[in-house]
Amino acid sequence: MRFFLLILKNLSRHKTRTVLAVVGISIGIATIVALNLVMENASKMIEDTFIKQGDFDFTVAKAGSADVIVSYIKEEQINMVNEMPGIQDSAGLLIYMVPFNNNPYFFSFGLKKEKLELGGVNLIEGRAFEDDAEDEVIIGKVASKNYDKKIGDTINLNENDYEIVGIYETGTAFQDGGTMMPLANAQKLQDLEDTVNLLFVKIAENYNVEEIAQMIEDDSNEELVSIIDIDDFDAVDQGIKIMDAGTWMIGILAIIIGGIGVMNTMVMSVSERTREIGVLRAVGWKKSRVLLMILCETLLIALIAIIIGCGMGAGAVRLLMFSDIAEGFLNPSYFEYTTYLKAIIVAVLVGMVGGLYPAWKASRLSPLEALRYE
Amino acid sequence: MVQIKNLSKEFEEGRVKALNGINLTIKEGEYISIMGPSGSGKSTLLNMIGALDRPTSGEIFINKHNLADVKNLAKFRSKTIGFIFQLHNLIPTLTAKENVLIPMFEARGKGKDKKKKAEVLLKKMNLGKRTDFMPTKMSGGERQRVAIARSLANNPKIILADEPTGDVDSKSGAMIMDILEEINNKEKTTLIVVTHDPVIGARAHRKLKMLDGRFQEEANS
Ligand SMILES: Nc1ncnc2c1ncn2[C@@H]1O[C@H](COP(=O)(O)OP(=O)(O)OP(=O)(O)O)[C@@H](O)[C@H]1O
Ligand SMILES: [Mg+2]
Repeated sequence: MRFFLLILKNLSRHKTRTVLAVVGISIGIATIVALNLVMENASKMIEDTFIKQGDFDFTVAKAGSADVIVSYIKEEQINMVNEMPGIQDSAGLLIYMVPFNNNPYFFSFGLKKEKLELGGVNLIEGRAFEDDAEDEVIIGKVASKNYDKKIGDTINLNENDYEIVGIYETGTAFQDGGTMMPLANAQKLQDLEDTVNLLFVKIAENYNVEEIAQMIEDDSNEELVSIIDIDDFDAVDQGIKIMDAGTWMIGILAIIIGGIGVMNTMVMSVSERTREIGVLRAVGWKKSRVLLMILCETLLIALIAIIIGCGMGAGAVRLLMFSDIAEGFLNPSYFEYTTYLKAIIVAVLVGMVGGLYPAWKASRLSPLEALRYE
Repeated sequence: MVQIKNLSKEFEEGRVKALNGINLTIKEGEYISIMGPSGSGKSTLLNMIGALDRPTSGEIFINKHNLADVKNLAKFRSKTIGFIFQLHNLIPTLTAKENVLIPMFEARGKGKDKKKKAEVLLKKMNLGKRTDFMPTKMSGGERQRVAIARSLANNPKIILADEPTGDVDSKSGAMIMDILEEINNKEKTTLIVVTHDPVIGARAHRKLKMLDGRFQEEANS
């Protein structure tokens, strides 16, 4: 008989109890996996939107905004940036939300036609809108699919009818899940003439990107912020930071609860088997083997919970993705092992910590007293 | 084989004197029975010899090794001692064969050989047809024979049996004793049996009587 088989048989003794302990940890793991899938995707999306995509080098936003949507950059600030040495080109983007088809968070963007390329917007079908056409929009690939809108179709936003003249792709879910129109149109609709939310900036050759990014912040008296890497994003949008902290809090809490559950299970199990452990010691089992047995039982519970929890977490996100709202925001990468790695490490730690105390207790039992235990 | 010098054991901070200066020498292959009233210290003595507990004073030598100097008592038990208790103490979720395999976890060797050995031992106990039975599916006598097979798993030098027939009827008890005696006879394993049953006690070559933590008399030695 293998040691592993013995552990398996011990766990199958009280099946309900084992299952409950597994469920306890699984829920914690599922929570971490699900939140991670969403968070990692959100971070990647932000990175793509503000730094990586298109031809620009970085993005300028208004400092201290609670959300990108309320980052308002005024005309004089746009001009100030454009007149700085080393700025080769810039593109202002206006972002707003309009209710559409039961989705209150449908995004619409305003961008000038000649800045589409700089902003990372690739037309995959049809043509771009004309800057002076008041009733033309292009639609993102995801939105086109979700709402079954093709070139030539009409889309009603803000009680205006627009003709779809092209389909675009940026590679980020939240942009591809909306529509785009000429900047001037969007500004007029939102009563935000000469204002943009974000300014994509391209730096000329032979200029140092970081220096210019810093200069923009300095020259605007810190009213503007340059987003060169993901950490800079905190200055514009606290949401992601709060969500990230929340994710960890919830995950850690869930795991602590699961850990207490598994410890309780094992303490009960050891106490029930006191006599048995006395026999094991009497027939010559070393303390360390008793310790190993209890620890392995706990780790096996954690291991089963890892498999179930990862599946549950990914499954929950997959279910969420069936809603149009989520699909407009997210594009989770289910097969990124790093998402699961965190959960697995935490679960193994929980198994170790939850199992160590009962295992230590079991190994410390005096064989004689254990044998006399009623 | 076993040499006990001036052995005393106290419990409850000296309020209970379970053993009071025991002196005893046991030769290899001896067959000893220990009888005496309840509370006279029989089990305590057996537990001392089997290194389940440490004496308060006095010394125990096994094969010339002072038990007080043995660092790894578990290893000593595993290699030298075979315990049989009044209650069989089998693990309820394991089959007869798996229960016999339990002590072999601490021994070297291939899993296949160990399994074979467990089967051979059970066959010797007349349990060849019961190897895959769960303890709950066996009679008290059968369970006790599984426990004997388990005690023999690592070829012990000494078998310590504490009322091995206390929980079974006289017919099963006689069978258990037959088996133990055969082992003592053939393998020259030292056998120490604690019992309340005078018929069983009388079967031993050397009969010891205990009272208040001392040997009272030694008949026919
Ligand atoms: N762990 C212990 N703690 C306290 N007292 C103990 C302990 N073990 C044994 N004793 C006491 O030591 C004395 C001898 O006990 P022991 O179990 O050796 O008797 P015994 O001869 O085996 O009795 P029985 O025939 O009933 O099994 C008893 O008075 C008992 O109460
Ligand atoms: Mg006793």
